[in-house]
Amino acid sequence: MIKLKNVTKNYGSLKVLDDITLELEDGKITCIIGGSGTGKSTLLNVLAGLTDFEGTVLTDNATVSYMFQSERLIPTLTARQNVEFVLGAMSPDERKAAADAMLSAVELTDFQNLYPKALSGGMKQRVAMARAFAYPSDVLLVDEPFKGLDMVLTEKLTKLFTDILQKDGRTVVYVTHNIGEAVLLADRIIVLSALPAKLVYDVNIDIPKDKRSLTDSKLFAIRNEIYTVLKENATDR
Amino acid sequence: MRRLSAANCPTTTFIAYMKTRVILSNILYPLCTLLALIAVWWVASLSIGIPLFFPTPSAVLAELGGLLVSDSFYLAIGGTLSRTIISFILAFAIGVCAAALAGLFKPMHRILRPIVVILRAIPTMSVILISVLWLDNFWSPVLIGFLIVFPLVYTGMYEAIGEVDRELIEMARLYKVSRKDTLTKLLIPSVTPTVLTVAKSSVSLNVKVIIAAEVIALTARSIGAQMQLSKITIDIPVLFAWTVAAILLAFLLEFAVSLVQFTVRRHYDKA
Repeated sequence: MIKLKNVTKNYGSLKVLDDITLELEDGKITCIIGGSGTGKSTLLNVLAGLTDFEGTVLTDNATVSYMFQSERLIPTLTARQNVEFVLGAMSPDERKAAADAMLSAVELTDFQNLYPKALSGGMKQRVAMARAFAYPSDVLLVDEPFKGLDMVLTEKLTKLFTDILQKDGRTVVYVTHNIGEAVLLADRIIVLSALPAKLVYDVNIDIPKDKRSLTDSKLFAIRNEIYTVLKENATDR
Repeated sequence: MRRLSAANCPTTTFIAYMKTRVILSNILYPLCTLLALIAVWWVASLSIGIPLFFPTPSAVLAELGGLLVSDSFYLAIGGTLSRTIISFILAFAIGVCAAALAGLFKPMHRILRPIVVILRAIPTMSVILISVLWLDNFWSPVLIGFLIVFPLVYTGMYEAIGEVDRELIEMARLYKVSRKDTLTKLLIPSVTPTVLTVAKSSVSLNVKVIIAAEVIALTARSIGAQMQLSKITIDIPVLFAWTVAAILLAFLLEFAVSLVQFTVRRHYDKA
């Protein structure tokens, strides 16, 4: 279990996270929703250990993989090499098998020897997805990875992502703007307020994922509640 | 007038057009410049009309032909070349390692930066004169070459390290990628193009300063000593011939670095 206790983060005089206390259960998918610029990415960076902060984060030495907003692929390595780049601790056979499996899962086997320059935006995100899932982590952090892609491609990649995620048992913290996607995917949804960000809404969804539908009355009610909370906490940032 | 582009002509025609453009820009234009310079030299020499004071290009070529059949020419070229290579490799290796350390440990950069600033500002001739007094006439030019090239390599490499994508380094750190893999698969490929550009621009400069040091140090088996000898005997056509030989040597070394640069660029262009 990951525990955040009284986590506060300032960028100079700007307070971004304000006294966040939170426990994330193992193997569960937690979606974080909030308006633009409300510290969602900062919260993920705190969990990943990529930024300093005040307070405590207890991770039990959990390993972390991260799907960033940008793909962060090394331009001089092929798609396959980019995936294998993070698998250095494995034996060559294990590395090959893990890369093969994930490149196949993201439907990039035929493009594995292309360099990022030759890949489309969606393909690059799929490589980043393969890299994040191939890495044997306990926790997967996901930060709006399909932001900036067109709607059809976003839907396709989100489906691919959720398909892989269903077969994967790791703890996931997923930042998204899409309330519909969150209610279909998450075991728990957290809403952050405008800056300085505080937890303003926290709900567990116990409906089995294969039985969820956006027309389900309970999910519909949760969607409306989240929407209302977001509207109440909206700023013009 | 309709411009030729990939969109409005067949592929083979376009490739032929691009090849012609490459040949024009890489061979024909430089050749025209060279011929123009030789023409100006020729006209100037004929205008002055004193071949022993300002020889014509043909006279210099004849002298160069004479040098080419003498053993002393190859000994001098070999000597200068060996000193150039030794000083360049030393400056390059130490410059790259020092910049890599400075990139990793900022205090190292704070220590090295004043040294580099001093080395860049110090008059080359005063260092040559001092080094001639301190070192033997083989190592004095090597030291001068090193002192000129080192700051260039260090600065170029340090800046290249600073320009490596921080987000990629952060990604490597998050995924606990080993230092070896981060170095060989991320950092070295990122800085190599810049470092090779620095190498290309500094190798001919290295030849120049090494010859200058050889002139002062009267280094045995060197282009510099041969130039000094021509000056003492007031044999200006031979001095010109040695100058042409020095230019060709610098050109060949720059070409060798260009070949490495081309190979690396072709590899990265795939990427």
